[in-house]
Amino acid sequence: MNSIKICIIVPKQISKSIIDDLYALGIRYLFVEVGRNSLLDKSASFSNFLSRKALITYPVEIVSFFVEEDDENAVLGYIARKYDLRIPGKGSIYSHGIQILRKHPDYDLKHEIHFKMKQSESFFHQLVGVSCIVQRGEGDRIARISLNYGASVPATTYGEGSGARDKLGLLRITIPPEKELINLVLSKHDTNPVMELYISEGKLNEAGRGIAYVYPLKQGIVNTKISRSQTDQAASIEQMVSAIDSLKGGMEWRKSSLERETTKRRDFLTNLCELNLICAEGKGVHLTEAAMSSGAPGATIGKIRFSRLDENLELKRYIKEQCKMIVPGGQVPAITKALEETGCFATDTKALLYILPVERAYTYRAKEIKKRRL
Amino acid sequence: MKRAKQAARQYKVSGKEASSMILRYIRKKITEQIKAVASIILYLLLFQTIVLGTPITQASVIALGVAMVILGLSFFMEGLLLGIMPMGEEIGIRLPQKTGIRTILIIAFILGVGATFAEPAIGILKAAGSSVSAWQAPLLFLLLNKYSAHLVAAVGFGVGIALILGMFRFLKGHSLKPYIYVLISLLLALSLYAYLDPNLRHLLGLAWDCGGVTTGPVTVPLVLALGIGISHVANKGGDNTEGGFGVVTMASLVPVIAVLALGIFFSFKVPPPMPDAQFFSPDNPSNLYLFEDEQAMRDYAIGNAGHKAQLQLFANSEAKLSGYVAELGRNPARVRSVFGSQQAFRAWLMLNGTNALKDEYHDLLSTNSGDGTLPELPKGDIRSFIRRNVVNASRAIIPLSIFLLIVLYAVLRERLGRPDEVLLGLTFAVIGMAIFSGGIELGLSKIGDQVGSNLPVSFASMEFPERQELVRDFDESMINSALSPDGSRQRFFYYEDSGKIITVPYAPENHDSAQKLYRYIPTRGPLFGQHPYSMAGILVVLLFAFIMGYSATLAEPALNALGLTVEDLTVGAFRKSQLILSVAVGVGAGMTLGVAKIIWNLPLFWLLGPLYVLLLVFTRFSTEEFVNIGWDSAGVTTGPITVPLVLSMGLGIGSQVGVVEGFGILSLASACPIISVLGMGLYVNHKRRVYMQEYEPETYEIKPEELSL
Repeated sequence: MNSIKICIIVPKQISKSIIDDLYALGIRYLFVEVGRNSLLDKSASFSNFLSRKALITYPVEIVSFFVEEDDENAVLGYIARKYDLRIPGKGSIYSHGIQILRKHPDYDLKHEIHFKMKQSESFFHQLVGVSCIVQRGEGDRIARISLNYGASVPATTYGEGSGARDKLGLLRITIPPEKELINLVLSKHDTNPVMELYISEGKLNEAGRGIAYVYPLKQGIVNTKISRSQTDQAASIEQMVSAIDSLKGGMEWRKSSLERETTKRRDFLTNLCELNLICAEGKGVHLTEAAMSSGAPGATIGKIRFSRLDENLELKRYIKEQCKMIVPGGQVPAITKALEETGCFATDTKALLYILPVERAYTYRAKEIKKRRL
Repeated sequence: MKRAKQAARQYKVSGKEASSMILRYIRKKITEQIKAVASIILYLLLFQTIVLGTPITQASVIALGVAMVILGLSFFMEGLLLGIMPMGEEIGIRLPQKTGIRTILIIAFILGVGATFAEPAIGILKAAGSSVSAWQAPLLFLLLNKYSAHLVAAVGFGVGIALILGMFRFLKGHSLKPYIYVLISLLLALSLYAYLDPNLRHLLGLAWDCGGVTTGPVTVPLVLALGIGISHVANKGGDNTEGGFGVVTMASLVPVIAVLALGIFFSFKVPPPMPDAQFFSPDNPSNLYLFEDEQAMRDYAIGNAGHKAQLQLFANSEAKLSGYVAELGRNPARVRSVFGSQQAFRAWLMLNGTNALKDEYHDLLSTNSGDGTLPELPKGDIRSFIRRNVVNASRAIIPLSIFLLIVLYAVLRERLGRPDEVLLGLTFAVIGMAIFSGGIELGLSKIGDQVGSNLPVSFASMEFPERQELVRDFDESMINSALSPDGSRQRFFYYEDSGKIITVPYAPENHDSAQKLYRYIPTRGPLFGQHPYSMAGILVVLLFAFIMGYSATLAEPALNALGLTVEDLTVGAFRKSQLILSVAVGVGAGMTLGVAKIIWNLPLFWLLGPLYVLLLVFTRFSTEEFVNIGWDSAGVTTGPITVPLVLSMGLGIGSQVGVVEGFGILSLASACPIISVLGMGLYVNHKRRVYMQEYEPETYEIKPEELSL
């Protein structure tokens, strides 16, 4: 079943009111992840003198939900307009196509969206999402990359990895499972240089460092306020750039000035999918084990809040686990079958499985695997 | 079959690879703990050797102890993160799914009471109250000695109720603030009542300290993890209960109420404070209520009260008293229990003994030694030392874990996600705690004792009995008199101490005129300032207290666990280091206040009262997130590293200044961090508001005509 997933990343202070509005618009269930946004502190201070530009972080919430294609523009437009997300620093909103494979009846709620915006908002197309999963503690280094490059503001979340680690027996405790996921939305034209920087600065070509992957987005607004600085002009640079962005209807105009030549040719993985499994808390470990036994190379499990309105429009909140797996497209049916056999879509594990296509991914690959491919 | 399949999925790791992985892992964990512990150890050593100018005795034992603390902490922290916390969280998640609210609350209560008995803090409290005398604070004396079991029970009951309240709050999704308002108001009212009653006034310090001490390094992470689990599933809650914080807060407030209530109950049965002679007189029959029996009372009076008071118990007959002491003196075990040391027994004989008695103990009176106030660890004790620490560690962790696992497997009929990991974690926790508490006993509290007992030198002159000399041929004619402006006379004599001629004040209890012997006890100090109790010397002590509190806090395992939880839940927006530093500043400030309280004998109520009123104001204006974290950090701060150090410092200063009781430092050290954390929260939020003014939810109002329905 094809569907549209809308993500809204906003500071914690305003997420509550956005969620209330979403309920009012007719959204019946949604997911919330806790994360942090980082931006550069360019204001002159003593700490800058001592170290590199300091990073400021503030808590954000990542609100996501699925809608029918018909309702996509109405919801995007309403939230973007009401919360002025066009102003740099307010937040980002974007949508992408996904495919829901299986779901527990709990997620069978039908949204009741009965409105359209008369004036359609103009969103940026030509966007991609880039996610990077690294060891806990490395996140800030990755977050700096897109900020220093001037692309957009990254949103970081936490997760726990499993994969090779779980095949080590008790020896696994010597490898910390904690991971950081850095999520970025940026213009297609910035993808190559940013990916290259991720690989070279995050040392993703070494074993056990992490993975970075690119997935397509439909449309959205990107948060481009990459630094905090005292403004002594009428508008900050970010505001001007964003004004030109919207005049030009995209970010392509920045291309010539900013894109760097990538010197190295990287051996990217293609034909992949991001498999997302949402299930009851505490069940993720068993389910990802089942998935891994039929071909998933590894998984990153994070906490996600699931809120829904029940029949009496009363709000219920649950903490769930979200397991992300990057798998070859051909393995999806086998993994789905393996998961189905655990009964997770029928029992109180209450699982939901959806995929989105991944354009390309990069991670360290052992030599033998390369040889075998040849 | 299943096993074979599982084995096939495992990677084969060669022995060499495995050992290099394990080595890297161990090195990382130990480095972390070295960083945590280094500052407090270095600080104490440098302060002792450089500022106080005193050599470190038993340096090798202390070094061994410090190494054990580091190794033990590494194991223990890993045990918390692998075993205790995941187990608590998993059970917390399952409980509300499978059982009703009543079962959860019953389990919470059992857990609270069990945790108190598993990590009994009564030993710590008894040590802190060792200077309490029966006649100055009868009620406090009663609760610390005869009825100490009642005290533990009251604290346990309080923690049990606290856990019930905490879990109830999660299930209902209430804000923590109203609970704080009600509990603090109740506490302040009870404290005011206690402050006005002469007997209860002395109990205040103990009651407030109980709150901080009860929540130990196992209980806090366990309760925190359980709370995280339960608050996740209790879906009624809004943002209020996110994160599972708040139970620790209640577990440090409710026991205070329980202990005060217990005190009020007993306050009607004990005599009011009075001078010792009056206390032990036959006109005060209720004095026996404080002791097990007549003999215990007599022993206590002989060991602690003045001569006149002692005579009261023997119908004012010197002969009867002497007979009793002569018999007592033949039994070394009783001498130890009554007088504490040979030294004290000797002093008693000099001052109060009849000549016949002095003759009987002639040998004791003329030996030229301190009686080894710092005994080396005897060989036979090593086995009992190991056994004691292993038993205590097992008792703190194993029964609670078994109880929780029984709940999980038998009541909830669920199983752990990674049982092997949890089991390994629990083993690590027991091993770690045994090594770590042994290390504290050998290393940290020894160096703490040395610094603590020498600390008053900086502002007062202090005796060093372990370096005493027996002066022969001491003559009455040696003694001179000095005149002071008000006409009072002070007797002194000249003495040559290692080539320098000094004046020594004459003390009759050190003079055996029959044998012409004088026991010379050297004194030192004050190191800073010209006169005793000069501001300079006291400032050094206050500064010492601040830095000690600050650096000890950095090493606290439970605070580390809380910091990790906070960092995890806020996805790094609130860093562990940020929390620990602000708590450490608070603890330092609290310690400083506490030491000031002891030196100037300030009433605790007038320190805690305004602090908590200020806290209520801070709480009112803080966000729920910071209220939860800030108040919880209060219960967490006073852990196994801080408490022994606070005790040695408090006892050292207290014995010099001569206070009735040395309680209160801990309660101040747990109140101040709340202020610093809430203050930091207010500051951070203010900063965020200032530089992100555009995030204020100012919104564009969408008019109905813009929509087509």
